[in-house]
Amino acid sequence: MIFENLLLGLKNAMSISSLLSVTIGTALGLFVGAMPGLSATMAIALLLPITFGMNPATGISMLASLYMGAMYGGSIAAILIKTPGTPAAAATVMDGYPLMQQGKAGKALGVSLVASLIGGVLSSIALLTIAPALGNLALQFGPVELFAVAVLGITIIGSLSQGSTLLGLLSGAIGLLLALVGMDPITGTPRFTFGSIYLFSGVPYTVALIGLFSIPQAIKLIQRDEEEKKTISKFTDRMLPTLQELKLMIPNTIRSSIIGIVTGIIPGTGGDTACWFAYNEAKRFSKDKDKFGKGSIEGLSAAESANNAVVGGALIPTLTLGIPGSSATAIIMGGLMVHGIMPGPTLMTEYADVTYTLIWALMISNIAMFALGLLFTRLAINVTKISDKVLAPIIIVLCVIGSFAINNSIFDVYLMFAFGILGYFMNKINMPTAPMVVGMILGQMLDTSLHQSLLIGQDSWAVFIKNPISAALLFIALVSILQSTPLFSIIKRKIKSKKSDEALG
Amino acid sequence: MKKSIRLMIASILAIIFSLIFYFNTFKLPAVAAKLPRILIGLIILLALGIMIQAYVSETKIAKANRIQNKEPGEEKDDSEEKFEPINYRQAIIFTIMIAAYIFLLEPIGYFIITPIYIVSTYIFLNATKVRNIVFISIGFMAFVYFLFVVFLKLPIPMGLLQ
Repeated sequence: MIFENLLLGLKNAMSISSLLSVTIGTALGLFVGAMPGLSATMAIALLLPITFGMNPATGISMLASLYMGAMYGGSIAAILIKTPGTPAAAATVMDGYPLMQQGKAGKALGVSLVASLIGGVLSSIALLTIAPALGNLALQFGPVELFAVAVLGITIIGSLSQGSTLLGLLSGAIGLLLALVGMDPITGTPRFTFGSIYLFSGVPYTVALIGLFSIPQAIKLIQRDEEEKKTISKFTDRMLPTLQELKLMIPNTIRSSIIGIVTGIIPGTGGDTACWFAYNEAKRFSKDKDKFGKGSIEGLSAAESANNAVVGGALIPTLTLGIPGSSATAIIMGGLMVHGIMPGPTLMTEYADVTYTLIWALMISNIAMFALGLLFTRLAINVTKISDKVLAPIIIVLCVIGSFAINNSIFDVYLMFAFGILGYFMNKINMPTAPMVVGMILGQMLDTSLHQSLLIGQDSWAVFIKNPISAALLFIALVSILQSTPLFSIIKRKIKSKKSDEALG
Repeated sequence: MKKSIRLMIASILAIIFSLIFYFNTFKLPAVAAKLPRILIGLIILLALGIMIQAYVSETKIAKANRIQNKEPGEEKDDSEEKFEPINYRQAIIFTIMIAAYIFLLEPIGYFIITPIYIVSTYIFLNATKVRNIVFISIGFMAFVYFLFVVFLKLPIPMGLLQ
């Protein structure tokens, strides 16, 4: 069955419309990634409404390809103007910019492109092999396990997101509560609609995520007096690395890709975490540690392969369990739901055509990224020069048209703006917005599965403890919260001091 | 504004938000109110936790400053403004312009209000040369028209053009 689905997905992904959407998505990602200040997440949020009119598989493939393309695009600005195009390219600056200063801009971009290709291909292979297996396992899940999965998803995202754990969890809890606005699926009663007919069908998460990810970004672009972006106009050196450089890159790139895949799988951690993790590991394993920070090809390739490897990794829990691995995959998941496809265990069976097409499209997007990177990187240099003040109003206009197009409702535009302002103030106190979006997506599933579980358990909460899978998942959720509280560090300190006391006699 | 004060305000707002929802749960059947009440309790607990955390860190900073014989008002704030000055006037006017654009969208129509918004924002931000402003506005509107109206056939508020 899995093999048949794989073939079906490959056939769909090789269709003209799919290949075209993958190429357009990757090209958009490459250029958006190259613009400092525009994140991949924001670009996916803005592109989402455009995919509504498309076939689900084609539209979602376009979003995933944009994500992949932006990961490489981010390195262009990082290398040329010392400003990461996306947060995931932060570690690329460390060795990419010194290489540019040495007159090796082409080489740095080429190494970044090859490393991105290897990272992307390996993560696509991981997605292609792990997702069906995990999907099969997830098929055994009933409402009790699904409730535990949703709780685990929200707690991990809340506790691993940047900033304080309490703020992350609060953001997730508010998201879950907002998801409950609208008609209650069990009793049919309008819940928290406050008399507004617009809220009967709930708060649309797509509208919320456009506002949360785009408006704060646009305001941020204009609120600081801009410095002139100094960059080169062209580079003349060869892009592709030599065979000797490739030999140096390969083991390091494979290790970094594995780090990227694993980091991607863990919900709440994305390219920004993976690039530093892989960079530090590359330095630890390197024979040439002194070169790091001064233009090391190993350092550059580690950061770039890891951030592309995150893409496939992050899609694994998204597609199999319905838990987004990163904020970008949360939007991709939202895109699936707009097309009436519920992410989760059934995605690998009921909607196998869409899922397997997406998996293959991601693989193809790596090839598109490599080809487009070789052809258009020289052109993308100009994009890095675009002023932030030129970009900000364009983002706003796209947000407005995108949020209107979802339900053909002006109320949604007001809602998008309200979420945008909320997101701006959330950024001000370092409260992550991703858990809120994930909460809004998982809220309905949490509500329905809780109700069904309590019916199974005859109104007893012990049903979640009696079930071994649910008990284990809830235990991991508890640990993920506790490990980031001061209580955990106090316990750890006490254990350490006890051990040292014992050692001293 | 100090980070701890911002966190306190955010926590109070979160508690008010959850209390509004809590009083609304009394109108709901018990089944529909179960999960919301659990979440409301959780939000209040987390907000109180953030307040305590902010208070503790504020006390620690004040203590550290006292040791260094500093005035209480002089303590260092780790917020971003200390490093990168924010042009608040520009940010506020930009946000008001977005609000005005959104509220005029339906009565006037997307294809009339959008170029007005783009041109006026560019002039206010002193973003680029007049020639570029005209070029970007026309080019962008043409792009939106072909992509959303012609190609994707998505609905657009037409306002006066209807």
